Amino acid sequence: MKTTHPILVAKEITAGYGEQVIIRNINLELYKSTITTIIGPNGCGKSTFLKSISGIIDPVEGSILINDIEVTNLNTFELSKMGLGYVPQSENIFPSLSVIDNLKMGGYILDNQKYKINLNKVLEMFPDLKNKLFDSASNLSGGQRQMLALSRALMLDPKIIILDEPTAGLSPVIVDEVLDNIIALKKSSITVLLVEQNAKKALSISDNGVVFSFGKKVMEDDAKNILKNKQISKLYLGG
Amino acid sequence: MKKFDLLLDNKILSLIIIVICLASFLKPWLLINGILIGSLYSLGSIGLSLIYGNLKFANMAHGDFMTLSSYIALTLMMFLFPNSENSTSVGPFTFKYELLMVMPLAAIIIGLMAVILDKLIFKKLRKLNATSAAIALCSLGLAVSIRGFIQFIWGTDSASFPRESKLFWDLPFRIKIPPDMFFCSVVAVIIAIIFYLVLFKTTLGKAIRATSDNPDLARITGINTDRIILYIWFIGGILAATAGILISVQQALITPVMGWKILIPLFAAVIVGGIGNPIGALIGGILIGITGELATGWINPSYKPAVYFFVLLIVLLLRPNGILGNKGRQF
Amino acid sequence: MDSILYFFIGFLIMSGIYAVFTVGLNIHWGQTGLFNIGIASFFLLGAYTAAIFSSPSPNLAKYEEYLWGGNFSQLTLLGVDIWFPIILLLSAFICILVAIPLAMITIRLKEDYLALVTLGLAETLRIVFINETWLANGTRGMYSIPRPFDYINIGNYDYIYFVVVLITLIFVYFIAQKATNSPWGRVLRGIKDNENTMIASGKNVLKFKVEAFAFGAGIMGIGGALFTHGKRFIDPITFEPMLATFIIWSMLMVGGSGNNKGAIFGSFLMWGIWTFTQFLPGFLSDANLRFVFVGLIIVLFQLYKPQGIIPAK
Repeated sequence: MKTTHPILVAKEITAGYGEQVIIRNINLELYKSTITTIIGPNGCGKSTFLKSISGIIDPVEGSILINDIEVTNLNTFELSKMGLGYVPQSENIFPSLSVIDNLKMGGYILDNQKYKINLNKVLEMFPDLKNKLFDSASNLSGGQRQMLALSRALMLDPKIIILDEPTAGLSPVIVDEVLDNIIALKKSSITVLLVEQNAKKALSISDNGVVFSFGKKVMEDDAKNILKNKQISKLYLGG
Repeated sequence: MKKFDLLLDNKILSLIIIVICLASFLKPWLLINGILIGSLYSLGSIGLSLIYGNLKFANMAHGDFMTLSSYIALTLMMFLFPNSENSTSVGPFTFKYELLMVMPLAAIIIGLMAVILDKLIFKKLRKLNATSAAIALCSLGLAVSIRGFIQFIWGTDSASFPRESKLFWDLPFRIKIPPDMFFCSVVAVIIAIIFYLVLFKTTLGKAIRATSDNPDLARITGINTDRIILYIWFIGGILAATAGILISVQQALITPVMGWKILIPLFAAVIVGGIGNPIGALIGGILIGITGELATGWINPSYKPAVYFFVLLIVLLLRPNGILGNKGRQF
Repeated sequence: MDSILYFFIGFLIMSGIYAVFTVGLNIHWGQTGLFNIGIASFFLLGAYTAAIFSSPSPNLAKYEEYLWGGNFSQLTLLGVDIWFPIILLLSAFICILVAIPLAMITIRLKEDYLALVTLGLAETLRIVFINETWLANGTRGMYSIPRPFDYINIGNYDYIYFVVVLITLIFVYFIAQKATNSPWGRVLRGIKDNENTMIASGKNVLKFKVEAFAFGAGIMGIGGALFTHGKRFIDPITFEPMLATFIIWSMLMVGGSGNNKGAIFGSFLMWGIWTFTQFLPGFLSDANLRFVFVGLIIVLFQLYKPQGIIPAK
């Protein structure tokens, strides 16, 4: 499954907020059409890492390459032009707008033709949105909101999607739906990186797993190996 | 306890509605006056609502934008059309054609001024993560400065646009309608509808609402939030300018405090209609106008500002999210 | 030389009076974060209370329309004008009496809503006093207001009144400082800094806010009373927002929001600028430019130096 060349490389990333450094010397490579999940205890820096490679915060040290092009200090919007989409954990849709207007904002910079093409692609992938197009986004259920948030990011044809806790606060059935959506992404040749609390379920759909602890990467392996690992199981996967 | 509150709430509101209906029945000419004056308030409050709802602070300088636009329009008229005293007025209205030519110019000047003020002042406050109250305080200082500036340049005496006296329209039930007021009301309704359409049907409007919802997410999607905010100021400025000039026409007077004096009813209208909602501002303005005029049928007319104050107070206590069932304030 | 001194004493008196107002505003905004742009309400209430209670009964021959004058100025004890401190306390009391129910109704409101309400109240009170001439003579105003301690004969009475103002200011500063540095004051500061934390730690935030509002209002009332006896003439125009609210805000912004020393310093500085700019040449002495200046001070200090010149510790 691994092609020889990674699509995204994060080298020696050290980052934090203001004076406080949260993560140190993180190295990670993402390969095309794979799903990578980062797990670990609360506050260990998983979210911070995502933010540092999605243009939300600038890393203090280290570099990020997408297809060998240095993108370290680009902001999120500039990264989206490089093919990277980011879905924040909460507040990831526009509640005052309807569903279709949310998607329209997602494709804000596209010309009319491209917008229509991408809109169709997105609605093909998530047909549940089709009959809710004119509903207010604030009336969507938790799972539908996540779907919309993801679709919004997909409007710009990303090759890489980064998701921060996409199943947070959702009931188990909906969690499965969201994870199914993520599998659909992989099927469209999109590379996915996500951070998840629902570690077991997330790893079960992933190719690779990464374990963070206290701001450092402590383990990286095929996802199924991590699932089988007794120690990790006890610590992070609920036994 | 909550149920009781709601019940009491609705009882008070129903009482108010009944009183208003009764008063309108007894003195219908006041109702009509109220609707007309109220639409002037609507004009002013649409712009205020736009800024309050999308830039998330109470712009205390809005009234002074309105005042400044009137003085600028007057000066432009004197300068560009020095003979306007002798020219013809438009139809049954008191104002001259020259005013209609000068009005868009003045509006654009105020719009640009609002944009510059954002760049100089409000953008910096946003960068400092200033609270809504701190920004409102700053706008208060701005209001004082603008008024001082107006008085410095144009003096403290009142002025008025060149005008020709015209007859009122006489209607049954002792209703007299000044044609000017009717014109202003129609303009107010048209503008409210236009802004509703802009906000809800155009991409710019949606981008404005998106920026208002979540500026960070808006930026992620490529919306230039700084530029959107400038648009909001520009539009707000134009709306304030138009309102100011039309109010000056209607009352045949331009004074340095005219904008400041109606700040309370404007805010009341904005809040009644739901902050950020242009149709709400229209309805709110008219309701405020009606309440004020009806009250003068029974109490000393100089107490009108007190009536507006009480309306504001009651709305803030009972329905701070407005009467249109708004999603409410998010800041 | 005499007239310069006379002028200077007058300046000091007004600065001192404004300093009292500013300390009151500091309790509201600097300490507790209450956005009160209706200072004029308490200025007015304090001033009129002092005027009504200390003035003699209305003289119909002079077309005086007010209904009742307290004539307190006749109250002396052993030849000392004890009526004056009584008037001060009465003014404070009336303000507190109005402030408490007002606060209880409105204190739940978000700050900018509170600002609008206080603004509206100030304007409403002004209109009431303009129209209800039986209260305080309407637009004709109350004049010939008695002077405290004017039997002390040292030539220029203003020296005496300056001492009166100074002593009152020191007293106000003293109780404000006590309040600020007390556990009660610390709670207020906590409310301003992070209200949610205060609520979470179980404090009845609303009660504290009402108390702070009442306390600040009382102080402003004292300022109003001082003003009445200093100027000896008040009418509703006196309480227009420019000199009854906005300039006080600029004083607090300049001097230091959050500390009483800064409040006093700001008053003297701003009143000094307000007074002495009238001696500038040509158009620079235009009173309207002072408006612009006051407004700009508020804007610039909010932008660049929100803590003022003397920052709170």
